[in-house]
Amino acid sequence: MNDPILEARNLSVRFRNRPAVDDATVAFRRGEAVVIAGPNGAGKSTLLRALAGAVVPDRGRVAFGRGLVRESLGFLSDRLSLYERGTLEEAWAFHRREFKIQESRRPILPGFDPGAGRKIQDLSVGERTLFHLSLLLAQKPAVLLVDEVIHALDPYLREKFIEAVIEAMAAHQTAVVMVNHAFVETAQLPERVLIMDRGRFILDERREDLEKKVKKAAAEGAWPADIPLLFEAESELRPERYVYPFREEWRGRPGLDFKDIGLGEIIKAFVGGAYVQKRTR
Amino acid sequence: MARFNIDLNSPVPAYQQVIQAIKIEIISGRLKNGDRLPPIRELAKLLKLNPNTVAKAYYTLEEDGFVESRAGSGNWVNVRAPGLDGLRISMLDGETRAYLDRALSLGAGLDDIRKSIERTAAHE
Repeated sequence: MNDPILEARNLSVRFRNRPAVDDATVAFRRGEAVVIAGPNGAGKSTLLRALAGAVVPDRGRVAFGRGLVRESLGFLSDRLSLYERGTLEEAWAFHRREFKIQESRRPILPGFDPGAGRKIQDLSVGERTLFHLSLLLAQKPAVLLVDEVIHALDPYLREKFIEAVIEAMAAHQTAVVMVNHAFVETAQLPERVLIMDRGRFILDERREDLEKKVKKAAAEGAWPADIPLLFEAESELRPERYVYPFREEWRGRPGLDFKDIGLGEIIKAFVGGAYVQKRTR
Repeated sequence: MARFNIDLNSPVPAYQQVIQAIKIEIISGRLKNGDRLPPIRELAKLLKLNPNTVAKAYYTLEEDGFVESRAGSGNWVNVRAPGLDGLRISMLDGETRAYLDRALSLGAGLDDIRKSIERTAAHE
């Protein structure tokens, strides 16, 4: 049960001679929910596409664990190509053949009944995403890869989306790998946080551990040199300082104040830190 | 479960928020011994939580002696000794500590704080 269900081993993907993914190694396990965050252009989506088999890596490989076959790998991307003029029923029939799904597993997301005679082109962007999700869930996915699609959803569809993913996790022990920190604000799904920068993973932590290790800090006077700063954002009133990795023994120090922060702000600090490093390189 | 709320932006881990919320339901009497907790899947969907998070909260509540898990039929409230009174006191102490921290940070002394509590309580 604890063997990886999906792995990337030393994976590299180049685009126009520039490395998009650069020697990335990572493993995912059944039933876990993972968020991959990072600055724009860090290679998150490319990695996901390579994991899904939509992009052929230049080096390294993607390995399926026991219990994962092509038919049980779901990939939800914003570059969704459904046949525009087709009906939902036709899309379902195609998907069903392609992924060898029994007719009895017809998608059950309310409002997306394929039989209602609607056409793909009549759906809004958000509705298409949800319909596509319902097709993927009919595969009883062992792994669900979710690219940045959630920002296209209005609050109602977003809630439906999250509920459907939670249902799949509970029903099929689906491993969910999502690229987008919007998930963090909408739902408390991820238990593990990966951060990418320039094609590589710069962080892989359990959420619980990460929340202990990153603090927002305020100091009276000069910043002590021995406490490592992850990111410092200048502001007119006071600098916003984020400490990583934090040690509990620093709490008692005079003139220093440390505050616990949620995952959304932690990710923001890491992404900010990546930009600062880029400037100073 | 109507009052259940989870603050997704809070630094308090979600499973601890779930534990806290269920303990409050129990202390207040809205959940009694023999009541069934919502199924993990349903509560996860309602609160937008990872099902593993809810499972972890239920498991911890069981370890702490508030919940009994029965194979195949879910999780049931079953408060064992020292039980409710001890829980009520420890949660009250927690609230008091948090309040004291804030009040003391205003520069108030314990005497000021005591008077303020009495004054406020008199208006209740």
